[in-house]
Amino acid sequence: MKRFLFSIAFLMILLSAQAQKVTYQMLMRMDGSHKLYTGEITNTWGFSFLNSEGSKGRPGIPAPTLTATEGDTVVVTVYNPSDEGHTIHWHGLDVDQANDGVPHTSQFVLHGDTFVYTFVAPHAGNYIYHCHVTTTLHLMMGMYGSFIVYPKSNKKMLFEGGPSFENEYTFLGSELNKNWTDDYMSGGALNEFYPTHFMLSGKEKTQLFEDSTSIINLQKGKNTLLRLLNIGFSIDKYTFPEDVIAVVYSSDGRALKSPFLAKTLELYPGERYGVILNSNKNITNQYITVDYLNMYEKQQESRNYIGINTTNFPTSLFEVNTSTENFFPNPTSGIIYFENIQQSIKLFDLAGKLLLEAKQSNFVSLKNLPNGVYLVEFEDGKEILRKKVVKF
Amino acid sequence: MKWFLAFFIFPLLGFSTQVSQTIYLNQGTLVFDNQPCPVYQFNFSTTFDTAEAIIKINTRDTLNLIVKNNLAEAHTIAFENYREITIAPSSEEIITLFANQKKSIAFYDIEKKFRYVGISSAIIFETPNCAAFLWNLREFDNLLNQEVLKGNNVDFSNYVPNVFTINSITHEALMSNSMAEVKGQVGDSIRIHILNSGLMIHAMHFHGYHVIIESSNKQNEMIGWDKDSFPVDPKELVTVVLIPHQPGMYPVHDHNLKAVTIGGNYPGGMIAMLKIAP
Repeated sequence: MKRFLFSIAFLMILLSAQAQKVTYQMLMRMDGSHKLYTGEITNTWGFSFLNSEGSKGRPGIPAPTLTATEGDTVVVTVYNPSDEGHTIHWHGLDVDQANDGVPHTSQFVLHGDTFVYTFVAPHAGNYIYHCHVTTTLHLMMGMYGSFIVYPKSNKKMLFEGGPSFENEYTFLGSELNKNWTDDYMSGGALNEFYPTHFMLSGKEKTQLFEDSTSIINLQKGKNTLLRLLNIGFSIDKYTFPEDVIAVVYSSDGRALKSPFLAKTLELYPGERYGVILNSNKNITNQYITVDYLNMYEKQQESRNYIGINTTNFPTSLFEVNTSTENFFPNPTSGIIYFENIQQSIKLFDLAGKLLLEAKQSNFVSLKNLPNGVYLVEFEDGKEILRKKVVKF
Repeated sequence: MKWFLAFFIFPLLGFSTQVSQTIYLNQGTLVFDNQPCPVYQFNFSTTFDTAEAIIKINTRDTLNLIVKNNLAEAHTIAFENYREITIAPSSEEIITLFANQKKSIAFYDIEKKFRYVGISSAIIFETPNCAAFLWNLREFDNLLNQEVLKGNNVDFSNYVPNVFTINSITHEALMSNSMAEVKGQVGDSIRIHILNSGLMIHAMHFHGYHVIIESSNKQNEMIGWDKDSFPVDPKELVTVVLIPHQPGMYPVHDHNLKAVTIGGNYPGGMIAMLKIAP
């Protein structure tokens, strides 16, 4: 009998040791800043840890990654010293209504308030946390981060019984419009948000090659995990190099019954995937391309590269346009956008033939034109300007 | 012989019922953010009603659907996996549909601009012990609607919708719409059919729950997946099954966050609600 009771007690201790309480203390802030790849600094909002490290300086994009182990009770205490109300929505974690972070069904965390979110981390996988107040704006301003849930038995496994891996990388896709972040009060109608910057975990273009955390170390014959998440407004289309075997094992925090090989993978807003990379070759200087497609006819708006075993930005593949243009993107595969509504935007071929005109618009579409170089004519308030635009 | 009829033939007839339903293609005006938005719409009434006709069919039933065209021009409606019918002004056509495939049926005007202004819906199937709901997603640019209804050709290349709807209504009204607001209990099986009648892709996100993607009328590799966020392409009809594990009131919304606005303001647009009792 003693032995039986001892066994039960031991089992209970073991179980309680495995299902732990994870606590975070965080600040909701509207005094953030973010360095763009052009070197410019823009204003952002976000979350930071409530500790000496998190409280100093201005929070950036994205917010810190939070982690827990499957079955853990997660307790997140947030304090809001900022001027506006915020919340945290635990995207995909299926928490109860009181902790869901939607203002009119749960609660606001108003200026000066503290709130404690409590929930159980349900399934190993990739999740997102973000503010759900005036979500279109607050999220664009940077109030989001990744939330990773590890399986109980092994942190080097995607989920219980799933594939194991040597190393892992998290890429959280998002966008911002610099005019809006510079001065959020200057933003226009929320349905007319056009990104000027397309990011992966807050980095874009050359920034993705400036530190080792964004460059994938893929060793021959060994598994590398990509945690891919999209909290932006675009479709993030990943294209994997020929020599890399990419297998998709999970989506939205759930194991797929039939993992599949992927040459490309599209992440729609709010989606998350777990992808294992492997190769039977020694790989150097290869790149995963990440195209940003809009939600209307999937027109490409931008591209980023993720390096594999390289520190070289692929300048031969991509022309970096750091000059201040009146419109973007250039080159384009579809639409070019202006920062403000234009009286008239005219598009000519190089022979001067008028091809199309948009009036009272801040964008024009080239999608029905063949690839090539065109002239775009517009008025900048002082004079009529003509600039070249490349359609590819 | 009488016994044979009583025991075998009559029950068989009883399982398969012929159902007739008439819908009317009407013109009217919806008002969003105090702005008029002219639309075409399928109604159960002979005159325009802001409530769209939502047709349900039991899986064993045969539906004789009568479509009457109250508009000034002829329209050709494609019933997916069946056939197209062209209906002259002030005329009607009948199409017979079977629900025995457990597949909902999308139908829409073959002309993009007419689908865009509202000629698009679905016949959804019901099974015993599983509530069925339809969310018909649309987005509009009021000015383009006016052009279409004037009979003008429109250029969608500069398309910027400012109204986003589910069943032709926006967020506030969706809270009290019986077909859009999903009510159920923990443990229920709830089938939600989501049709994208618009021109944009919509990425729906469920709060509080994951759902199983049961079927789609397009080639959709996500069938069988357990998801909380997934895309619905234009003209796609996705069916998901929700079995709530917890009670609560949760939104379901487009996570392309431009679409949770009305007239450029938040909140509005494509936000439906789940109300799950213990």
